[in-house]
Amino acid sequence: MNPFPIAWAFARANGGTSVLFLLLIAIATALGIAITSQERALREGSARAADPFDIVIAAPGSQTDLLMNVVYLRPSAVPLVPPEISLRILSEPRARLVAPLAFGDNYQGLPIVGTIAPLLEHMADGIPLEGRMFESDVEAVLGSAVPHPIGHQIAVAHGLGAINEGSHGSITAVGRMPPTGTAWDRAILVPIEFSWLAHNLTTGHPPGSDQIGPPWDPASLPGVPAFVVVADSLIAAYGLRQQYRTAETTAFFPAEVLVELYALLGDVRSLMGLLSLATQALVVAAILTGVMALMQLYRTRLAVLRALGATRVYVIAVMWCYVMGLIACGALLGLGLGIGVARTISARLAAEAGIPISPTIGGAELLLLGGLLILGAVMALIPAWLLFRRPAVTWLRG
Amino acid sequence: MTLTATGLGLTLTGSGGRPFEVLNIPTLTAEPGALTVLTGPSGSGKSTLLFALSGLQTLDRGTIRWGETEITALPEPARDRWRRGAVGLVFQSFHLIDELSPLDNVLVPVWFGAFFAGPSRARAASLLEELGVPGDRPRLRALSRGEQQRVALARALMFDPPIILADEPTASLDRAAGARVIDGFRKLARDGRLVLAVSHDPDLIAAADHVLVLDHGQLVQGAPA
Repeated sequence: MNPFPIAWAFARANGGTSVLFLLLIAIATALGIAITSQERALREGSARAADPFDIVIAAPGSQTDLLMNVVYLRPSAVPLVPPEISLRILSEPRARLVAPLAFGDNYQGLPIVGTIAPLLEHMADGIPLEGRMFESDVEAVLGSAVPHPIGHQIAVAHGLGAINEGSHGSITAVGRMPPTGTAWDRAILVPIEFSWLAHNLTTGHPPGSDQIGPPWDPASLPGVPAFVVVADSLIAAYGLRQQYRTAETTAFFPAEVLVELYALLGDVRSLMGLLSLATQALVVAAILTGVMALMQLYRTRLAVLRALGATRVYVIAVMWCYVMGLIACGALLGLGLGIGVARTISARLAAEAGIPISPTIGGAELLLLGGLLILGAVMALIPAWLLFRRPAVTWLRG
Repeated sequence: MTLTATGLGLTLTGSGGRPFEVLNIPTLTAEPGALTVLTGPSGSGKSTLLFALSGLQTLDRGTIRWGETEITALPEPARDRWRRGAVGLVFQSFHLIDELSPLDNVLVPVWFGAFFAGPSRARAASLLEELGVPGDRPRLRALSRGEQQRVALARALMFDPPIILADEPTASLDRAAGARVIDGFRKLARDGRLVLAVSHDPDLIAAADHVLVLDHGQLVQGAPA
């Protein structure tokens, strides 16, 4: 048997209504797909962006604010870790790498981060830089997504805005980082001595020294906003976190703060997911109600099929194909639409947050789509079943 | 083969919950090779009898046989298959599918049992040609009402059925188109088919080999003695 030509004829008979139903399903599906894929992409992107930062140590304060400062380069005013404690952290024997960080300046809206070369090498993960690493406090390395060439002169401005450009002097870009998948890809990375000098602080080295990076001179070390620490081992990492959770400092794994944020995000996602599922169920129910109304128009045609020798199974197959065709086409269109919406939102979020966010079709989306199709497949039988509770001859007399 | 009905009875419940008798026919026989017209007042049970003979209307009692096959004893799917192969139904309002071409309308019953209608296309085209329906019209709406009725007749003849049952086949046609349908029915009967038409059309009644008159569900004329 072949119910498709008749189902297709029914769809064409009410083309406008069929297209409207299809669009309704597509929009409802797109809503669900966009929410789940967007949330997952945001979670994966933010987690990936935090990967290179094992432990963050800073002055006591909100860990979320510190995370935003250090990992996502969303600067806000943070107190400094006193020099004597900073020196202790910088000399930590259980750490493979301790990198001091300084924020707060920018160039044309791009954040300028003061740090040391070993942290950049750690973040580059063995991939060589384009050009070379900074070797003096008037040189900079560009993040992979900074839209300026090597050799570019950078007039550093204080704070976040474009005002006072050049107020902190000018440096030259000498290298470019490989992509790291972090917000640091959009940053300009300078020796921390430049940042300290720009803010009229000592540089961690004796006056007149042009040295950059460790070893540090205890007498010349200023306060430090934050440190990124890479521990020797997992046990050392937990030990360091414990040791620097004191009245003077706070220490945390970025991942643990993210887990708390994800828990909150997860609750919102569950709620949105439920709302999205409810929307889809309502749309399917509305469509079935509409289809049942349409079936009242088709009932004579369907009864004629029975009179011409079609079995009940054939007639039910015609109606099922018609309704299921609408649901399947709508769901597939919604899948594309949902991913399109998620990618558009992601592109804007990525531009703002500076971390790559790439929504993809994953298990959750396929489950949502599969759920809708299965629900639709079962519910599509209802109009046919309701229609044939009365004998076909009833509709032939009309 | 002969179409034989014995002891047919159907009682329905009317408004107010009172039962009324729709059909009560002790015996009815229709032979191939003849055009039989079933007439009578509106509501006398003509269409019910027609649909009962096609196996579509279930009855309270009685048996209908086509040759050795007891139609009323067949389960519904088997009755559907029998109707598809043995009965061609023609309706007053044609009941064609506007969104299909004339040729595809003739092929509709083929899709009930086969996925591909390709092997049947030549027969469908030949039927349309025989009945004088222009084969080059892609849309049904481009045909006159008379031509549409002939498309419906071609659809009924798709499987070359031995029985043609028609419900008011000329009622929505003008006299010329109606005359053409009547000629077609007479030819089908001459070819050896059993043709039974429900009609009030005097021209069709005049052209019939046998006339049965039904009133209040009972045969009042034309019943075997």
